[in-house]
Amino acid sequence: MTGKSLFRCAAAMCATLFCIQLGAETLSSYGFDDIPGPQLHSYPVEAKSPGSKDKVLHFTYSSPGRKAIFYHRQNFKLGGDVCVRLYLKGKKLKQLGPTMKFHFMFHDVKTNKNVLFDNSIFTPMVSQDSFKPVDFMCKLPIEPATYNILILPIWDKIISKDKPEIWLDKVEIIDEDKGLPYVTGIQLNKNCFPFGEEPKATIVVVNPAKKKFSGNLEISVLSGLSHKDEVKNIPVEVAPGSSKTIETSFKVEEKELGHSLQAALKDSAGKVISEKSRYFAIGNDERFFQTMNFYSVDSPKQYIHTVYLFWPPSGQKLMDEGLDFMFNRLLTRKEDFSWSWCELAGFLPPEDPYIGTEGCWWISLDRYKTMSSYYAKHGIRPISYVQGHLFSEAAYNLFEKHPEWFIYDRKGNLVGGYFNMRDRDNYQKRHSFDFKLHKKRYLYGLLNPLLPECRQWIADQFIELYKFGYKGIRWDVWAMEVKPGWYDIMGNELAKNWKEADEKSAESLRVVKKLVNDKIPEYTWGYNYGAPEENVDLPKYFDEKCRGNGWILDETTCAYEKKTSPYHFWDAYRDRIIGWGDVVRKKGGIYNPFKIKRSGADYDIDRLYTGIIQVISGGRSYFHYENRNAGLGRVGSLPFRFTDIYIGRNLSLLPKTQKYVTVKSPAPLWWDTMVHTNVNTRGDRQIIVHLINPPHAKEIEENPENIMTPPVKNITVSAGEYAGKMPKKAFLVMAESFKSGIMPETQAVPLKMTIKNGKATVVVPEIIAYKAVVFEY
Amino acid sequence: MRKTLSTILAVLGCILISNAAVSLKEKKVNGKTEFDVSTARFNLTISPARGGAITAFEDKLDKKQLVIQKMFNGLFVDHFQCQAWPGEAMEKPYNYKVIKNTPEEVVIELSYTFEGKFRVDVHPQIKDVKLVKQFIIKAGHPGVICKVTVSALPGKSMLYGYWQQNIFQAGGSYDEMLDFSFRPTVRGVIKSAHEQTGSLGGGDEFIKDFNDGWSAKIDANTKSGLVFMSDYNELKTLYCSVGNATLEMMYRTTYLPPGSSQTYTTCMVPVAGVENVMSANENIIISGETKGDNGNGIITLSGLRSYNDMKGPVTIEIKAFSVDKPETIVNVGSVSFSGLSGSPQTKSIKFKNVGKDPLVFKYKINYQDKGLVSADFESFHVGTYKWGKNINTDMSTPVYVAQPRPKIIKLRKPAQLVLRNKQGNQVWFIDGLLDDKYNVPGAMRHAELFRFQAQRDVSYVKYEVAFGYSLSYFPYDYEKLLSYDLIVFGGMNADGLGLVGREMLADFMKAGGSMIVLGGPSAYGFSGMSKTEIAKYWPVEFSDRPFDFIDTKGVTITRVGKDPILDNDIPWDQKIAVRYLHKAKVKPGAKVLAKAGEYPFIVSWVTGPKKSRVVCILGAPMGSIDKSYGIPFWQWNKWPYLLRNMIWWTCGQDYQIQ
Repeated sequence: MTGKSLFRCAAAMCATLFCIQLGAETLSSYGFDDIPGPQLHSYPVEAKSPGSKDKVLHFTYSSPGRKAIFYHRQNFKLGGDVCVRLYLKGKKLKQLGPTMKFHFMFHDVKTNKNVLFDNSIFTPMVSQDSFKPVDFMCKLPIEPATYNILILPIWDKIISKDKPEIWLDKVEIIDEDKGLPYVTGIQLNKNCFPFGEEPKATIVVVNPAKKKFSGNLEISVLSGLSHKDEVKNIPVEVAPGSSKTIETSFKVEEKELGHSLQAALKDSAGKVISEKSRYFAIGNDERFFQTMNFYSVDSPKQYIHTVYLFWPPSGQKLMDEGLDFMFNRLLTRKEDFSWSWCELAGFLPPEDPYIGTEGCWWISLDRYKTMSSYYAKHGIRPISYVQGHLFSEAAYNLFEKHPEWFIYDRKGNLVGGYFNMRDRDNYQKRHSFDFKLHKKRYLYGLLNPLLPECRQWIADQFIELYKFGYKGIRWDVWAMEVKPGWYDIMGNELAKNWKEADEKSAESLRVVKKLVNDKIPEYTWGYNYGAPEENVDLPKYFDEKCRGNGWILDETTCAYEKKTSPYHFWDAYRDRIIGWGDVVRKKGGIYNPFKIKRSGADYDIDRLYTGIIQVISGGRSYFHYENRNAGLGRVGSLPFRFTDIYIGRNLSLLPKTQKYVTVKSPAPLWWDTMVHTNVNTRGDRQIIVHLINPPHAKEIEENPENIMTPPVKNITVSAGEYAGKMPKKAFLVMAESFKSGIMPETQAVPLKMTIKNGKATVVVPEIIAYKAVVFEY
Repeated sequence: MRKTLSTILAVLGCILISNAAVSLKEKKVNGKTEFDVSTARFNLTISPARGGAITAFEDKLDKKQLVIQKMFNGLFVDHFQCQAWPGEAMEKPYNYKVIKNTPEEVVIELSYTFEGKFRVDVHPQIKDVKLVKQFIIKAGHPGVICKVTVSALPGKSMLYGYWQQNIFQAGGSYDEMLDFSFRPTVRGVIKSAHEQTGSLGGGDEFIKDFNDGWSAKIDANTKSGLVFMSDYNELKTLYCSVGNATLEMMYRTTYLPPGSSQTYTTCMVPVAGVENVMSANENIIISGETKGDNGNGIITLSGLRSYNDMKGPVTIEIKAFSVDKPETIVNVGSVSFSGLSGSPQTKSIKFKNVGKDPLVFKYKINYQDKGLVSADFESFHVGTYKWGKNINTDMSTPVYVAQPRPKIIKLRKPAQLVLRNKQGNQVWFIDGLLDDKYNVPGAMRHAELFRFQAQRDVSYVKYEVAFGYSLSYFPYDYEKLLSYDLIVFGGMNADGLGLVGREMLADFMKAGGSMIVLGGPSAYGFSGMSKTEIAKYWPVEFSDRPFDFIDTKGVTITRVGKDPILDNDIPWDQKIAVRYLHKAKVKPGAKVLAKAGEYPFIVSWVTGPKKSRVVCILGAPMGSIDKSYGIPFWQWNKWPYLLRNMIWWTCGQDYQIQ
């Protein structure tokens, strides 16, 4: 394959994204020419050009947040992919960072549900000089329905003096209907399917033509870099002007992999006239595939609170919308945080509503039941957060009954370090009309994990959680460990030194896991304190945490942006995260690095690079930076779709001194501490070379202007012999744009490989921020 | 050479500055009197009409006006803690007089009589109370002494907490990233800026675990600011208001008998040329930093002149240890400063092999000037590349907590310690962990039938690892304390009571007060009470260490002979039992009313000059007990009656149980 043909191949792949544009029909076109006055709400209405009668809207920054709706049209019959095309002009826009978004709301007239999309505007998309069409893709439910469409701008907080300005000439709503039948999309019943379960797919074919359509729906499953299985071929007939919903199921091989289900609609001549795809995963532990994030520049913020918060004010409708949104974002693990009644003393309350969320709010157990069953039904593993302590009422009662089960410090105080008898007194009055929440737990305690009774008690609590609907836990703060300086009620020290503490902690954790897993083999475990600096004293205990797919939250990273941290330099951060991800993987754990700063990095550029580094580390995260409009794509989809390359169990990080791979780059490029070897699920040897265009600033949070390093072009990557074999194939794996200026797509593009002097060499045309080269042996 | 010359000139300048005369100038601003005071080091303005505060201050080394020229800004602003901010005294006209005006010393006195009313709230406890404030400015001293005297009215005691606010901007303007406050705590000197702590809250706004009586604010850009020093023994909280805009000293709640008074002395000294403060007293201000990792590194200390002029050298001895091994103390060495001035003198010293980070450095300051006793302070070092706060990964527990510096207090007390003997049972219940199991309210209900004058107060015990034990209420007012007949003393800790609380409770016992002491998980050995004056009034001796339980696994409680407390209305027809007992030795003269196996369970006696009656319950209301031993005593339906009998007896109502 020549360079030109390669480019054509990539362009064709990208073009599939724009199939709507290729065969699109404009359903509605609206300029702002009929606006009578000089303003629409607060937006100035201006002449398109001096003397012109064409009017345009002018958006300027005044304050962050949502502004007035400027577009509201009703009764569109839509389904699947819809394009909102805006004719825009702009100035002082940036390549990345705070900007203005267009917020699209599709309101389903029948169900009253909303489907929301945010789309940020960046400099390459919009011209300074003339109005050009910019397409925003919106993925609606596949069953056609009637929608009202609203559009409004949302401004990010912009501190710099140069505020962007945007002009809008016209809004067009376009769907795939140009007289030809098409597939609106594919929906699956789950995001992740256990081995042996046949996925159920729903595919809708619309026939807008005036004659009956007869053809075939070819259903294929793509996996790995280039593997494709055709799983079904279904004859389809659709009456003129109607749609048909096809429900089918199919078999998938029992390999722990992410896949893409592809539905190609062929006409009677066998020509593909429409094609859609959807990702899914196969594996018994859904958490393994938790690589897609929830938050992103492209995802509307209001869902965050709907799904992540729990108390009644969020409302049933919003909760339903949030759950659907989460499912469609391809999440496979959902953790309900801090919801329970008294944690390890008793997760489930004897009354409903109850004071949960660590004593803070009146909440509803029914709602948690609904949510956890939704997750399970949709292939999303419901996980309960476990704080590790025993809290409040149930803890108090247990303490009265079994003070010998609790741990004490050297002064004889309960380890847990808190009680307040005023709050206990207040809690007893909770059914009074004038009761006021103190929003605090009134007692914290820890159980002595060395006592068989306590181990059984804890195991029983987890089993109760399972019966309620949670298939696993993430265990924060305390998880069966003992430390020197902890005592039983008679003053006996639980461990004399750290070595003894390590052994006893590991053993205690192992026993509790066994007690639960003997009854519920699929129960999964997760923990905090997953950083190397947190595991110096308890290495065996950490090994036990990792063993058997332990979800390892590496949370100290949330302070790495600080100047006093050794990891606030990007290269140090990179090696720390990728190196430790390798350690956790090899110990059998699932690595979950936390974002920098609790609330996330201040600047998009830092979010982008931390996300890329976390993906390369094999990290499962909800916090990647995604931005389709800036050409950066959805980096979290890489490990989901190309499981072997990013989160495969056989991956191994090579030392910087490795001799297999060399990279020649015309500009600085990070790669030499990011080379992995792998044997994929099909038994093929791989060498993976991750290529990062380094951040503009050397330190985290030192680039408030979000300046992107210019793309690096024409990079030569060579790989030599490995275990006596030379590479057979090479692929370029990416989520960002293949080249600047075209829309990003998650894909693996075959690369032309030349073999000379015992080296297989490929040329990577361009790295915007991150791509990977995979050599297959 | 140029550098040496400028250093000499700076030192000479500082010497001249510190020794020049002080001048006073009275002026009228908008018809109101103000006093401009000038020394070689600073210019300040005292405004009687604006709450008697210093409303302008300029350090001549810094040349910045530190007080914003607007209302609600100033130094030494008076406030009582019972009133909401800003309180009635702020920006109110004070009476004033010039007490002394010589080139050596200026003394200005200001006074204000409180109305005890602020907005819609009435505060009778400070009504008509006079506050007198003196500013003392002396030549040759680069600081200001402020003495505030609060006096109780002749016929009325008072309970109050004084609060002194200093609202100023180090470096002359507010900067949320560069204005740092420094306050000494048992967790090290807490350095905070608004940018770090957030806009509201932040655990370290109100510092209660301070370890010395100073606080400072410095602008990191100008390297200048102010240090305030006051009596550590009288302080309750070192406070920085929202955004670090203020430095405030909150003094402990104080009881004043009728006609007596209390004076609070604060010394304020400007500092320049340093980025932080590690220690401050009236003889020396020390700034510095520690660099290095895992036991090896360098300490750089800068000494500045404080209020007093040290004639002889000041030597600082340094020792260090790793938090992991506090018993292995390494001698680092010492540094010495001579001729301290307003310009920092800097000395460095290396340390080696101290151990794994984090490290603690203990400094002892020795003076050669006569009459000065040595002082000490600590610093905490986490290593070069660790982030600043002394916290563990649980984000709240300190890695290291120093022993708090002991406090010495002198309480003002009523002329005679006697109980007020009010009508009805006057009972104060200290409700600690599991003490609710004793059903004290149930017992009180039985005890108080038809007694409307009875008083029931409850203090809830709170424990948190960083700050230890505390009570939701303590009657710091002797009038209130001595009005009780009985204290039901649940699981409260000696440290939590504090020096004042312990001394007042001992006074209560001296006055003839009675006590019922409850067993439990925070009681007796766990409470740290054994060596207190209060415990001398108890009929048992017990361990001064925690873990003083005997785990009987269950034992039946038996009566020892006859006693009205046991017999009145109680049939004893059911077996009752206990599992956990505190180890205790019965004191001679005490009476064991009930035993659990061979161990004492209820012990009583009458003790002290005023015949205090005390009952100790040595069991703890916890643990599972096999039914064969009996009902757990706290679940026994007659328990409230037994406790009621104890209340009647301790309150001296013998007729109720005979």
